[in-house]
Amino acid sequence: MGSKFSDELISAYIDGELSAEEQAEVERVLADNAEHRQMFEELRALSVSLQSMPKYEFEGDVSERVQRRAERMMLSEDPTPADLQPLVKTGKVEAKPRQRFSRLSQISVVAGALAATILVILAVRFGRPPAGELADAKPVKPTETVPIANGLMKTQQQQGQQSIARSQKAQSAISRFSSSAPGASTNEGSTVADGNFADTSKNIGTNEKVATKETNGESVNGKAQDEVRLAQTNVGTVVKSLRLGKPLFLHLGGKEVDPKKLVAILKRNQITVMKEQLDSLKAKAISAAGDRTSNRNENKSVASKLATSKLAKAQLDKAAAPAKNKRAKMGKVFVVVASKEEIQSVLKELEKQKFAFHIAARPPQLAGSAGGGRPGGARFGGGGGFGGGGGGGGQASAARQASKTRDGTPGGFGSPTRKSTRGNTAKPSPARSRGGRAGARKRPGGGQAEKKTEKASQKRGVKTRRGKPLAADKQESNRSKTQKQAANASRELKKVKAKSKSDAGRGGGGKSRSTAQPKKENAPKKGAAGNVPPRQPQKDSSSQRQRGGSAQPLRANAGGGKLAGGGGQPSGGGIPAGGANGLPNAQFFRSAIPHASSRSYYRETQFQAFRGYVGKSPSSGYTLMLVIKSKPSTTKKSQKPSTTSATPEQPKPAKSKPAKK
Amino acid sequence: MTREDSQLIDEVLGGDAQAFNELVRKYQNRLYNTLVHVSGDRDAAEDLMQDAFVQAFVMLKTFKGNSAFYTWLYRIAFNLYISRKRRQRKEFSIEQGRVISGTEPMDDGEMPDDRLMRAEQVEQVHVALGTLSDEHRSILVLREIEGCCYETIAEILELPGGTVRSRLHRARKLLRDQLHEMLQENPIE
Repeated sequence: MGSKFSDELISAYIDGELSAEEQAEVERVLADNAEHRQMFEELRALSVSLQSMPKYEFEGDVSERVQRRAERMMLSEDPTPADLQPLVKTGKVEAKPRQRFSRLSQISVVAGALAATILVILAVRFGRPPAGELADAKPVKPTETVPIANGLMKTQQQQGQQSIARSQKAQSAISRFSSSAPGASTNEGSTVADGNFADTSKNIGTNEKVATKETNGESVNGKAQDEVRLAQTNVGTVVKSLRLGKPLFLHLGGKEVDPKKLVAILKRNQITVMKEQLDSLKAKAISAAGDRTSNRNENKSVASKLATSKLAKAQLDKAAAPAKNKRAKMGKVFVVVASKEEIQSVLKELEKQKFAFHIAARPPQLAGSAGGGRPGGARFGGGGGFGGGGGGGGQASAARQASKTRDGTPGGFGSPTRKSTRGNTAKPSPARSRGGRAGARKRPGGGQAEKKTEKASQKRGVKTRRGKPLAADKQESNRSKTQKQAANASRELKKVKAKSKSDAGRGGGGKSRSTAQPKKENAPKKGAAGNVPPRQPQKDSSSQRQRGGSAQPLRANAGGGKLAGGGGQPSGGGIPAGGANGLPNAQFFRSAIPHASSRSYYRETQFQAFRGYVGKSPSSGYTLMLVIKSKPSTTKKSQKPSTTSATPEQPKPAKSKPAKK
Repeated sequence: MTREDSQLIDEVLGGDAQAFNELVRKYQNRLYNTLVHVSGDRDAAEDLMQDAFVQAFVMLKTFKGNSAFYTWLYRIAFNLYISRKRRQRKEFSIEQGRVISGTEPMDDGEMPDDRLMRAEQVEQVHVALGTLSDEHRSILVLREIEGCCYETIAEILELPGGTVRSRLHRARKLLRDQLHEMLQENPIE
């Protein structure tokens, strides 16, 4: 064998891709050299193994789908698929035409932009309608209505003529949004300056057909999607605005969405899909929704019933049998927990594939009714986030109200009362109720407020722990299970009490107020811990959410950060010692909800709110709830996954990065 | 390109979109199988397959007929795959390979022990295949599973013939080494 013999020839020999001469040479080498012979044997065996790999057959026929998609693509403006022009969007390729620009053309662009600016100024100055006309007309103020879009427009205006055209397009979309969304023009509470992402819905999909449909009110999802408005933004902005633990809903519209495809996208991004765990939850939520609907006239909310834990849940399931029909109308729900990068990649892929979807940080239904928020709902970080209901979600008045409600309600954040009256059907443990008291004690007068709450609850037939609920026996059993946790809790409780007393002695508004919450002059009296205000005619469950809103950690979480459309400032949550990411820290949870670690409670809360969302979701389609991964450092305790827990296994902890403000 | 394919393509270009459905039905299984092995994920493969067909339909007028339709389609699918992989910048998940190989159909006519061993072997090969880079895995799949000749591979992957040969050999050696490692760690009894 010569030293020049290339063992590549062995491979080619196995494949039968050699010329006669080469073949002869290889055979000679194989006969002489044991090493090459061994390689030949190994590679041949490998080849056989590979060739005997099983064949996968695709079950079904994609031809119809392919045709539909292809036709849609060809109908769109740019028939060239995105994947065939991968470099078009990159800076490198964009730089080329820029280089070709002559100086003259650059000057003309600048001149054009100047002329446009002058024209706009003249139009504003001389084209202003009479004062009376102005007073009568509902002003369309994109800068106030859709601040994020405004921010985008500002950015775009700096990018020359092309960007001007884009911002005009965005403005027209915003105008459509403003004019069609009732209450939208009154939205004053959210700004981009402080980082609020108060825009309600982001239709990231740029499919023109979808956009046209939505703006015409003929959305894919029907009435619910009527609320969806087109506001041009980009995925990066959305993802940047996400915060740790902040849930992000993607309501994927109707027929266009293939669940398999969605799952594939998620899997490709190696994001855990929680669909399986959600099935049972969804069923419960639907049952709850049906029951809520049927009992609305009787003023018996599902939340109240759910408070009675398992027994009531069993009753609910029994009573909500007719609501099973709704199940067919419900869309699939996917919950994923992922890092920002992963979510971003999913969003980009969804965008690329032109899914019709809009993003909501809380359910549209809640935003529509809570605090007079825009019916467009789906407010990104609006008010109290989706979980807490409440919150004006961007409206100044509502924001103030939300702040008032939140003000001085550190215990309310723990939501003992809310938890016991509304949700947490799975395990309403006594420890949680105690947590509620603990929260109440944090604030002077909290205990009294709780008594009032209980009275009000008893009037409505809500069974609290003091009122010896019907399901007390069940709760007793739960109590034994959580006895150990409660013991730990009581220790924490004592600490909190001691601190609260010292704070009260100083005349402060409670620990949290002194630490994390700016003063609110108009703090409402009813804002006590876990307080449920006196019963009012219930419009829908979202109003009830608002009542209990102060007790919702998630809301407080949202309110505690820049994303909160309502308060927009850390004043909202009443979170003592809130974390760097606006999340309540473990210390708070240990004190307010003794039985639960921060993570478990937080997840329960997410799911609780999520369940409400699912229960109220009126349309088909698919809801994708994306939750930014928690910090790895916060996962001190490994929680056992429960059916009510929105705690998926972290798919890639190594890649999880804490959200930055 | 077979005559049938050229006829169908002519019909599609002539305005009969239904003719494309025949092309889809004709090649969907073949493409799907290859893409499953390449991507290591059935869902992703289905996704890729659909997208490839869509793009083929949209870009059909650019098809010159110099190569087989399937080769052209395959090139589209591969470009899609590579393009997405580049965006994702994520490596193939070994777990995905395991998941896939866990549902492998088994040969009949074997003893249960043989089946088990065979399944394990298949799984190991699958996992090892998944550890390779995209270019090496693709070329191996094209050659061993798809049975493409070097010329076709070169056409699909847009590579010179010499590169195909060397890359294929390199891929085989890498796969062999990977399997050796795996067998040392978890020997099949």
